Amino acid sequence: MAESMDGIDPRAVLAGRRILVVEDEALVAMLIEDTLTDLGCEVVGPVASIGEALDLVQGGAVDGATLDINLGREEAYAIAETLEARGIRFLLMSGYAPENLSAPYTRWRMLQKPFSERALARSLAEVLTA
Amino acid sequence: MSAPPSDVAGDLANSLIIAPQPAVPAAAVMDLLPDPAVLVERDGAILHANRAFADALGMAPVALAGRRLAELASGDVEPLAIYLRRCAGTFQPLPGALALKAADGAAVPLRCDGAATRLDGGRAGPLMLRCRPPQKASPEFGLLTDKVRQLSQEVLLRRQVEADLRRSEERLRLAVEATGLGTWDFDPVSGRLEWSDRCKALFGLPPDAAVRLPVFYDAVHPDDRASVEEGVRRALDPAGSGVFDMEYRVVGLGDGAERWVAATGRAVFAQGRAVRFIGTALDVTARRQAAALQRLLLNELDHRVKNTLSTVQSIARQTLRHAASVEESRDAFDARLSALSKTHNLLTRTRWRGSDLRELLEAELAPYGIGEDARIRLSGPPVQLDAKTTVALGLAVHELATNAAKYGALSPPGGRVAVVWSVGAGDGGPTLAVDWTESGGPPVPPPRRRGFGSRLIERGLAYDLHGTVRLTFDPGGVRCRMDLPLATAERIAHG
Repeated sequence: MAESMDGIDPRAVLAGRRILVVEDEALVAMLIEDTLTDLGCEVVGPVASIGEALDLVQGGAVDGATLDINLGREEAYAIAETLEARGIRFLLMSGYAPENLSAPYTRWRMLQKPFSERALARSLAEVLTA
Repeated sequence: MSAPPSDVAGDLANSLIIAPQPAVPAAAVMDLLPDPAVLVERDGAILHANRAFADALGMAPVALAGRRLAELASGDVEPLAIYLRRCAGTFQPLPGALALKAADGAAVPLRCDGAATRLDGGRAGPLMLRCRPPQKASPEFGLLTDKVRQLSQEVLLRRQVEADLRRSEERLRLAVEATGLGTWDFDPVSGRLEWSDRCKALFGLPPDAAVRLPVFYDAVHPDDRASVEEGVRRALDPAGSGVFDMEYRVVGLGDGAERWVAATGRAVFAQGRAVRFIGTALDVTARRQAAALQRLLLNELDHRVKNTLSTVQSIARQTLRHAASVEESRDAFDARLSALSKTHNLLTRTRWRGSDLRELLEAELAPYGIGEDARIRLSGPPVQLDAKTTVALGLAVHELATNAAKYGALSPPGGRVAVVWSVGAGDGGPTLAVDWTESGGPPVPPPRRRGFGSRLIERGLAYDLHGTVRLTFDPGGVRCRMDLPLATAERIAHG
């Protein structure tokens, strides 16, 4: 994974990007928000529901997103589909191990919680430059 | 079938009796006959009795050797002696009757054909008496009726064997069905497939349903069909072990129900190809479901643990970010972790269904003293909170109490905190209003900057619970008003 980022500075990729954060746990949302802000991103949200997320995606410029795929009991698949249809790159986040993900999600990149600041920066930068 | 074996044996008996030592080969051939037969001297001394003869009398063949027929007679012995004398004078079978008695004393009337055996040089040897049913056949149909009789005896014998086999199979079937096993039997040569009733039930079919191999494959779940076909192909391969042992899903043909079937079988090979493929099938749906549920629970547990770790990670990161010293951050982190742990304790008691608001407040505020004469007073109706509200509210209350102990009403003696709550009707259902009011503490200056505690209370609670939170640093004491929808939390009646 690190090899593929050789020569690419995640900070350079992420600086100034508008990143939508979709996460239903307040404390985890704060953590992602702080981490992305430290990396120079402009955080959109964070939001805890599909409805709010879809409003933000449709309403304004979003360069990328982090998407928790549990969201309480709501399925986040609708957001993922909308983001993909609009060409917006995103990073899935979940407490589930990647091998336990259900079929529709397996085609996207996922970062398992808990994650380090470095892992979030690298994964999101890779998704945005892929 | 051109000639029954017994017919061949009969011809053999007639031809071999002319051998120089008649008793030896004759005895062997006699034992092949399905009918009672006995070889006797002219005086009636038994040289050899075959099994059928011994069976007719309920005795063992060896017990008869050396005895006289007269000893076995049920009545007058004179007619028997006359008959034997007449037989001794002819090589042509002479019809007669033997009135014998069995070991248990029962009369055994036997019709027989008797004649002297022909020895070398044409001399007459011992007498061969071949018995048959009482019906006297007319001479011209003698041979035919003899064959018919032998055939019918064979049929009877076969029926007996089949009846024994059926009883044996029935016992096996009962034993097998008691274990819930279905049985199957496939003939790869003819394509004939037989299933037991239980096997049919596994595939959602009634007992009278006809089955063929395509029916079986139709019932196998589409996702498992290819591997099952491959498993059958491998079992029927003469180069392989012939063993079939698979678990696969079945979609009931009649009922559409999905079941897990564990099938075990074995192919029988003859002349380089499979001629029979038999085995059992067992419904293992319950075991599979239990295993799936266990996997699901482990997966959920893993998910919950990972989310909790993320929460702890967030608390750690933000505690470090806002603390003035390492020592302060360590103490604050320990206290926050302890607050989180208390909410988990409450939730474990209810298997994560939720908690009671008062119990939650008592757990978090116990170190500061709760009660009418204590520093903290709680007042409100019983309210049931869901798991998420429990965690969020627990952490928020901890932050309020910590702040009060450091800078507010819980820092000097005499200060008080009142926590009063009520349930009201909101637009989208019942709402919970909680008022945290401090009094009797030092004058509260407006905070110079918002720390993690404020952020957690104001933003975290509102975010997690879709409510509104107003934190006021009033000079007379800190106040916090929380309005939360009780959509998922239920108010419970006084009990």
